Amino acid sequence: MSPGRSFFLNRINAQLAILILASLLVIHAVITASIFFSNRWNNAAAFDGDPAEFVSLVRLVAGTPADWRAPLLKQIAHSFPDLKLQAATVMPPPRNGAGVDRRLDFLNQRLSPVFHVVAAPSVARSGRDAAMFDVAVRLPDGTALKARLRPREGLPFLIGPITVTVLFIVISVTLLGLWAARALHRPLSRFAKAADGFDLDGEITELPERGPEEIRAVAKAFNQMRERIKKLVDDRTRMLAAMGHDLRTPITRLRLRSEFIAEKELRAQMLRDLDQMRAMTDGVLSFLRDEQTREAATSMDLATTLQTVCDQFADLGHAVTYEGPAHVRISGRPDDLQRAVANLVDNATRYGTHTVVRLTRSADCVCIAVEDDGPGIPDVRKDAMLEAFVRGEAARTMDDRSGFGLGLSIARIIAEAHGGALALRDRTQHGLIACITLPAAGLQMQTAVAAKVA
Amino acid sequence: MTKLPHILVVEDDREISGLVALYLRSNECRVTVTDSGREVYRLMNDSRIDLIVLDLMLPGEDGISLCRRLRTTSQVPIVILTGKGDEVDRILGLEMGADDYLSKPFNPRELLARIRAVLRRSAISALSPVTDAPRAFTFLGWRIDRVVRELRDPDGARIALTDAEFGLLQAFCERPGRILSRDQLLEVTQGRSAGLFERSIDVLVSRLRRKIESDPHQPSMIKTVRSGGYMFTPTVEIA
Repeated sequence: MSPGRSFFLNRINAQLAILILASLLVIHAVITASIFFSNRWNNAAAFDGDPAEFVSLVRLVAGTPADWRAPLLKQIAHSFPDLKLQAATVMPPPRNGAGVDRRLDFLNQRLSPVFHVVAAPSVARSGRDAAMFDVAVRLPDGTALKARLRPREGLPFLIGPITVTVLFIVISVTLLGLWAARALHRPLSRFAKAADGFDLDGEITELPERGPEEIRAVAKAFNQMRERIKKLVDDRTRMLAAMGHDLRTPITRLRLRSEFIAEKELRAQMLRDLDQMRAMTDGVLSFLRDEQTREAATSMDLATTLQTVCDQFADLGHAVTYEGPAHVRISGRPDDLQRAVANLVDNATRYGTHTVVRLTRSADCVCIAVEDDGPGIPDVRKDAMLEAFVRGEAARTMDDRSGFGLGLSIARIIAEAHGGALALRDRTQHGLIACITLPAAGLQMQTAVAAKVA
Repeated sequence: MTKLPHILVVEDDREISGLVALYLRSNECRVTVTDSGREVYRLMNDSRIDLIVLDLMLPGEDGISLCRRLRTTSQVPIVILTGKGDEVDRILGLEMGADDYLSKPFNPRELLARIRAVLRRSAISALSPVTDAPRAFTFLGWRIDRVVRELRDPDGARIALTDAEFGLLQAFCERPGRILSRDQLLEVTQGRSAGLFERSIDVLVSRLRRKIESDPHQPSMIKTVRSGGYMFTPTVEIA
């Protein structure tokens, strides 16, 4: 809809009103036209021997004194030549073998029992007059009238005003319904799609602001709301990132200063605290990394990534083993996936004593299961655990290295960025299985792209 | 006294540079500190500098371009300090010719270990004809890239390696077809990653074999040499 149109015309109710008005006008015009044409047909029929005319004329003649009838009949014959109205002194005998003639019903309904109507024998006619039939009517005084009539036809009734009106109301209501459905459905499904595809990390595609005024207003409000949400999130992200960045300088200084602490125990404690702080800021910063600084997806060997994570934790003295194929090629972001799995293993080693990282692949997905033998997580807490800044303990104690509770949510975000998912499940005896599922089909598709890039 | 290595610390945070200087001095280094890139050239003219510790986040001329300019005129080893997660800076720094990097907040002991390792390497390369370390090697279709620190298999898939494994493979690629003793391997890989000192080279080799050999039990690339150590058999080309 062009913006040049008047404000009034752009509103839905105005458009509906115009549509209804226009369809009423069309209906009116059609009805008028149909009445006009059917009247013309009727008029033509009157001169061609319309039985209704004949009934009137019979009554007129019957009500006229006998000595006035001759000029009247003459006058009628002059005015209605096709009617062939004639006076007869005697009633002609009914036509042989006529049986019940349906064509006489109309006349009988209007003329019986005062008048007696019979079908008169008629000569065969051809052409336009083939349907004409002759009748004779006996008047109360014994004389008779003969005339040639045309049978009444049903057609004028069928295309009569009521039928036409109903037909056009049905058509216009259907059209109106279709128009309304289309006009409302299209923008609504656009909204649904836009709301559905609202991704803070992705590029915001503006919802097109077109259509009726109301729809445009909603689209505009929607776009503005999306911008506000993005701005809000961006502001918070920047604030958190600035904190993460700025904390590094004092942590670096403290780290250096602590090297000069003579007392060994005190120094060890301080280094532990500083490591914890560093882990937290690292966690926050990697959580906040935006799409621009995110590494590109590439062809990678997921199995060696998992082996590497297991080796790193094994070197720190944890019992972490890898079980799975030696090589599984997927397309993904190697550093991100390594971080995700490392976070899961870190969690597992914190709550359990033995951790197994299991890699399985099926036709349509690869599954990385990190299994521990710890106490597990109650079902009601599982979903909350995947959110940022939520930790297993209800109280936010800082006496361990669990950081801000970002580990699982970072793993979840990374899994989802790969088109996969992170789920927490209970292990059969006791313990927890954190399972990252990555789609194999999408990854295969990306592999081709990555290979082309490489 | 003259045998102490002379380290130039370029860092705009005076407290950090002061503390780094203090720490390095207490560990047998001679340290000069500056907070501006402009000072670097004057200081290099005034005295012999053995190594520069360069913070990439400098006011005025940033560390990256300083690093690039230094490389055009000098072979002095450079260790860069970057913020965590600033991958781009790290890669740029290494491409501009930095010898090693450390991300803040760093462990001072690790800084010292890296400085020593870089100094040792530069001392070795000063004696040997090989001057510039090549950016990447290829062998049997595999490609190991020193700057972005990645290994790709013949199909182009990235193979995850720890720092220690990467250092070991790099050492093999720099010396193909030669028998390398465990001590030698420890020596060349030292400093690439802190914590390697205690780790057995054998463990590293078996992990590396698991990742690159088609049959880790019948290794064809990294052969064990009885009584000697290990030998990297593929033909290595500089890419």
